Order: sequence, then C-alpha cells, then structure tokens
Amino acid sequence: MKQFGRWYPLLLKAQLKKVETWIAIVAMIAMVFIIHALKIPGGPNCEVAIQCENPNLAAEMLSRLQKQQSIFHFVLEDDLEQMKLNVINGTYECGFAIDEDYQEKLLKLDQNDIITYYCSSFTTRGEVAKETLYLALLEIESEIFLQVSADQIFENATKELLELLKAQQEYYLDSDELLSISSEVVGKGNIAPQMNVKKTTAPYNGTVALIIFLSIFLAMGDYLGKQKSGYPMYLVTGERFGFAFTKTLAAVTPVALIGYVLSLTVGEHTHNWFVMLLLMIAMILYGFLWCYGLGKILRKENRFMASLLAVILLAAVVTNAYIDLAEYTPAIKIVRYLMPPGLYLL
Amino acid sequence: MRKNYFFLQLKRSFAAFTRMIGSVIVMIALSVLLAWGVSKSFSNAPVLEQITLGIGMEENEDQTEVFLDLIAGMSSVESICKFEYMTEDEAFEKLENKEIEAAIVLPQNFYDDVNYGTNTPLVIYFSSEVDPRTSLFRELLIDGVSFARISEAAIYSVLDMRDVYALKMTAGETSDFLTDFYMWQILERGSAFDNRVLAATGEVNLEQYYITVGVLIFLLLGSLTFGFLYKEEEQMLYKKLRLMGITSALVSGTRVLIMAIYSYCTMLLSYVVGMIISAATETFLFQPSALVLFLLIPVALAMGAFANLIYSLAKNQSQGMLINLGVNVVMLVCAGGILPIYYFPKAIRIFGNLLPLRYWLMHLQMIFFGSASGFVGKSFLIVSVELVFAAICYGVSILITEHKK
Repeated sequence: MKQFGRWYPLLLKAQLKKVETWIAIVAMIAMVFIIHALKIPGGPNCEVAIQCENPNLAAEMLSRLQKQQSIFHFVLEDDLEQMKLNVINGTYECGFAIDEDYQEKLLKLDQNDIITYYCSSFTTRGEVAKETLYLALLEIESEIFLQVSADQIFENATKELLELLKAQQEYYLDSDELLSISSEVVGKGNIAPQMNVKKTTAPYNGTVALIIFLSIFLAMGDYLGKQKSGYPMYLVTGERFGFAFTKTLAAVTPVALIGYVLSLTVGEHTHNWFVMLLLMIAMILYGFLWCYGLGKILRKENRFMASLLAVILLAAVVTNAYIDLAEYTPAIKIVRYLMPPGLYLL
Repeated sequence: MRKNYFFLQLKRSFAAFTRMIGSVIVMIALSVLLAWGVSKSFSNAPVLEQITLGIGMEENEDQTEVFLDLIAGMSSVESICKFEYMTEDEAFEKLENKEIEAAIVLPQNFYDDVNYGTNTPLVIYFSSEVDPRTSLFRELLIDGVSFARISEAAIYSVLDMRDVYALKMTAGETSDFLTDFYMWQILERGSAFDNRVLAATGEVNLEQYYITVGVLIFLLLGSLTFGFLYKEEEQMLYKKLRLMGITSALVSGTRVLIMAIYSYCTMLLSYVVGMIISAATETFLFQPSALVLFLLIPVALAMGAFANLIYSLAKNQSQGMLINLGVNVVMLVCAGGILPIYYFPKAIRIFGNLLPLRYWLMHLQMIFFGSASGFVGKSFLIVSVELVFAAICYGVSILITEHKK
C-alpha cells in the first residue's frame, strides 16, 4: 500500500506528460461529439420540403398546402442540393422540386414531370405526401384549365365570366353541396398504449468504455515491454502485480475521469451517478485483470500488442456499443460480459 | 545490399504476419461482422404496415367493386391500406373487436349516385385504437375526396353559368367534357412526378458500400500490425545501416513497399473472393475487369505511404500504433467508413471529404463495382491522384525522419 502511494503519483505525472494520454482523451471527446452530431433517418417524420427556382411560385404552392388540414408540415427550401441532403439524412421525409415553368406547361394542359419527387430508402409516407401536394396542384390546374377551355365551353367567354367561375368554384369548395366525408370512432375510447421501445445500443457510453479499455490494454503492453529491461525487473513477483496495477490505474485515471464526465452529461443515463461510478471502477478493475491475464498467456509485448486490434474489434462487436448482435444471436447477451466494456454498458 | 535489405525486411514482415495470422483471421471475421451489423441495422428501414379498410356494401354491387379495385391498386393507396369487402354488420363487428382499423359503409347504388351527381355523404368509421397509420390513411382519404370535390366544383360552376352565358354544347356534353378532363388528370397524376430515390451510399448500393468499408477497415487496422518496423531498437539498427549506404529514403521506401504489398494482396484477394461469391449467388455485384490488377497498385502504394507517414511522426512503436489507430478511427468515422458521410453535420462532411480514406473509398468502389462506361477516364484519375498522394506522403516522411535525426 505504501508502495502504491509512492508509485501512483509518479506514474500519473509521467502519464500526463505522454502524448498518447491526450490523444486518447481528445479522441474520446471527438467521438462523442461526432455521435451526438449524427443525423440518421428513422422514426416517424412529417416534414416535407418544397423547392422552386421561382420563389413566388413556391410561396403560392406553400400557401395552398398550408390551407389544407394535413398531417404533413410543408416547409420552403431555397437550395435544391441542401434539400436533397436533408432528405438523405432524414430531416425531411421527402422533398418536391417544382419546375419553375410549371404554369406555362399547365397552360398547354401538360402535367408531365412538372414536379421532381425526392425520397430516400427511409421514406415511408412519400406516396401520401404526393397526393396532398397534387391536391394543391389540381386546384391551380383547375383554374388554368377553365381559363384555357372557356372558349370551347361557352359561346362568349369574357373576363367577367372567368372571374365568376373562379368565385363560384370557391363557393362550392367551402360549401356542403359536394361529396363529403365525415368520421366516427367505434368502440371504447382506448388510446393504444405507447410502447416504450428500449434502446438496445449505447454509443456514447460504449465509446467511453472502449477507449478506457484501450488505455488499459496499452498500459499493460507498455508494462510487458519494460518487464525485462525496466523498473519491474527489480521487483519481486507480488510487487510486480502491484506495480502493473498502479501503472494501469495511473494510465487510465485521466481518461476515465473525462469519460465519466462525458457519460454523466451526454451519455445514455441508464443509471444514476453513483452506479455509473461503481460500474466504471468495476470495469477498470476487471479490465486490468483481463489484460494482465492475457499478458500472462502471451508473455511477450509483440504478441500482446499484435492482439490489440482483435481485442478492440471483438469488444466493439460483442458489446452493444454500436450494434446489438444479441437481436440475431441471443447467446451474445452472455458473452458480452466476458469483455470489460460490456460491464460498463450493464 | 539494398536489394538484400528489402527482401530481408519483406521476409521479416511475412514471418511477423504469419505469426499473427490467427489475429488476422479473427480481425477479418470481426470487421465483416461489424460492417454486416451496421448495414443490417440500415437495411431494416422502417416499413409502414398497411391498415385494413373494411368496405361494407351490399352484394351484387359489381360496378362499385370494380371502381374500388381501381382505387385499391393505386400506389399511394396500396402503401397505406388494403381493402377487405364484407357486409355492414361484419364491418362494425370487426371494428369493435379491433380486427380492422377502419371501415366505410357504402349505400346501395353508391357508384350510380356519384356518377349521376348525387352527393351521398360518406362516413368512415375508425377503430378506437388510433395510431399514425390511421392518421396517414385519413389524410389519403381526404385527399381522394378532395380530388372529387375540385372536379365537382368546376363542373357545377360551369353549369351554373349556363343561364347567363350560353354553352356551346348541351349540359350533358359539357359535363362529360369536363369529367373526362378531370378524370384523366387525376388518374394520370403519377405522370406529374419525376421520381428520384436518393441514396446515402452514392452510386453504389448498400451491400457494395459495406463490402468496400469492410475491406478498408481490414486494411487500415491491419497496418497496425506493421508497428514492429518502427520499434526503437529498429531505429538504432538503422543508424548502423546508414553507414552501409542504406539511407532513410530506402528504409522508408522499403516500409512503404511492404505495407503496399500487404494492401495490394488484401484488395486483390477481396476482389477475387467477391467475384466468385457474387457469381455463385448470381448477384453480380463486382465488375469483371483485368484493369483491376493494375488499378489497385497506386491505391496500395498510397495506403502504404500514408501509414508510413503516420508512423514516422511517432517516437516508438506503441506511440506509432496509437497515433495510427487514432488517425484510422477518425478517418473511418469522418470519411464515411462506418456510416455514409451524409449523416454528419456540414463541418465534419467538409473535413471528411479532405481525408485520404474518402478517396480510397470512392476509388475502391469505382475499381470493384464501376460500370464499363467512363471506366478508362476514371482509371486515369484514380492512378494520378493516388500516385501523387503516395509521392507526397513518402517525401514528407523522409523529411520528418531526417529532421528527427
């Protein structure tokens, strides 16, 4: 214990001077930030974008759409490329780019490809959004059609007649004289209970756990490298274990502290602060024993470090940091606790 | 002497690699599993489940049923609901039991009523369990009724004017003329839309994207196994070798070549295995071309040179491996190696587009899966970009090594 008290501050001081420590901390913060900033489509989305090179036409279409009682929320997008990007990343369910010449085409009664519909593989409501948009288009088409074909229908089609026709259409659309539909609910008014879908992955805490585990692994690798030529050479067996533990603890302290803060602030909040602290300590202890055991089996630093990738990849795959393989293979749920990061994601 | 040095290092690398073959196989399996897992979670895109709409109507309403079948076949309707024909009593019973989500009860001769202008009001009955699919269905229904309303409004307006403004045709002929126009426009409304599906994976599909990602993950992480070339003890040896005429340029060049050979063999093996599997499964994902043998060389050289540059920044093997790992992880994340780059905010996308991995990803996709048209032009681009990049990395690594001395 006395030796621990002597070694720990010295090793910690040395560790803080190493570039690797700061690289690990920066990498951890950067990864958590990137995960936080990710925009992945999924879940119900009723935002639909409208874009047109002619802003007046776009605004007219938007005002007609907003008059409808629609479940979709139509927004105007100025830039086509930005709209496409937002459709890909799921900000919008889908997007519509309106041809700025569409009114000229409708005057010729040609409605072919006047609207470009952009969707992604995650779009599920796009077909219904198209119908809602077409409704606004049909209103405009109807007005234009009557203007264009008034001479075919009436003997004397004046400007006054066209104004009257427009007013009469508006009257009918607001009235009850046309085909109408109402709705009723049958049965007892139980609203379907909201299913709380538990998230099965923990990318924030998973990233923190993996990087802490990586720090433990590298510290052990460093210890193995100095076993025959450094300070540990002068220690007896029991002291070597203590030194290895102290070295690992010193290496992991700065990374674990930052990781713990990140878990509490942006992490998945699966437990309270005390339980998270216990899990962190348990993971560090388990990680040390795990790496020490592996070091005893492999013995040489070269072999130990060569297994780094396989171990980290295994931890990333088996634990539910980024993907939950237990959905396909339930046995993984047990296997993941064999890896130290799995303990932190309990 | 120089040739001997190169072959000695190659032999050592091969020996080191074969010692690590167990780890290598595990890494391949885990990389593939990770890539598969991420792609699986993406391909399981949310699918909107159809609701069942019960149509309660009398028997022998053949015209109504034909009309409804026409509506049921529309893509927008099909994506939301499926029709089930039943009697009125059955419809209400199933609604009560929540076996169906909604029902419409059509009165007798409904089709004739609509056809001859009698606007029989419709009531749609919903089950008490409300969910987003029902809201979507309601929207679709309102849209469909609104199409009819717009057509009716136009026809009625015109006919209302006939007392003041004389019609050229009879009322019936005018009504038919207008009905034909609106029916045609509504039934052909699909032609108004030019459909474009945007893919986050660019010009390749999801499988091809993650095949390339899997290969790159293996290559990048595999470069960590060459850390032994940069051990501190090796540095002492190199000082002695320098006296024998083996300069740092040759040492760096040897390391670049060794790592390039590893990268080339890996990419070629992936291509060959991919071709065999896709031919056997008749998926034909890979583009067969002899040019692949040559195009992979500059890509391999660029990867080797970049890894050598990163290692040359470090003081020793551990530091080198850590820096290499950090750089590789940053590249994999920011350049679209794990998730397509479009899912990241603008700043990261800009940064990611500057990283070498972005170009390796695009070039590998072009080489493995590229279409025949424009292949030669693209090949020239790939070779030029990669060779220039390799030369720059090699040059900078020599400068760094010299500066360290």
